[in-house]
Amino acid sequence: MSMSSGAICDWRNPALELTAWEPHTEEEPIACNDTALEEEIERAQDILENSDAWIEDGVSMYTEATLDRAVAFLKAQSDELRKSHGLHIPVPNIGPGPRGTIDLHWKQKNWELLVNIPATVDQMASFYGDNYGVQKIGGSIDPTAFNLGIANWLMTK
Amino acid sequence: MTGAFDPHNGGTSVDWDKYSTPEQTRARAKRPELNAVVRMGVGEIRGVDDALDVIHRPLPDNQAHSEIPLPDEGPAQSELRVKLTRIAVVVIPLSA
Repeated sequence: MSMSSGAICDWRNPALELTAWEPHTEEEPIACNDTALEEEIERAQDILENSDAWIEDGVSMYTEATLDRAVAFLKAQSDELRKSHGLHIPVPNIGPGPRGTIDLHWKQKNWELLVNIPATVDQMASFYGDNYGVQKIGGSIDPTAFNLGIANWLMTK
Repeated sequence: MTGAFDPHNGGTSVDWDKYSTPEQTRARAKRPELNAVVRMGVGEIRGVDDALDVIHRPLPDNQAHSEIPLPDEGPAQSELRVKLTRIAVVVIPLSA
């Protein structure tokens, strides 16, 4: 075992001036400033504008809340990867999925990934990706959080 | 295009081109102008995955109606939808 040198303070010494830790301020969220990604998010609003095309039992299947959750998931991956690795994520196609869900679909030269954001708040998102060969990724994830497995896949060249 | 496959009640609806042209298929959509039509070979669909099949299930107003059994949700559905898009060929594009 090795130890680095340093002064040791006696915490029982009343003369010792104690200093408190700086209060932890919540980090400012990093804005998603990737222009292409923002443009795709803007284009995805068409899903809501054309929602009368997908009416089921008199109710549109696609809601602003679901689209917002899809965008929040996307930005969580984008912001974290930019913060930790300085990387911009590839831009997915944001489109209508089955039964009011939203699809985030990346189709790249060497890999493909589909993340399906559910229409209900308490449901897990499902995903599948492969490299057009034997390497595959798939399962269920929390759509409200950054996911390291998805991030690793998005960083694949 | 992954959203083209919209499974519910255990399957996604398709038309058999023996009984329907691409134009007729598109015309059956609620908003035809917002829909494209893709073509997939039955043999190709069955070759994509052991879980995939195509079954002719005619409806009173649509003799061409058929179904590809797909899970209603979950990772398996996502996987099969990705694989189906790879064999789908657009015959009527969006906004055509």
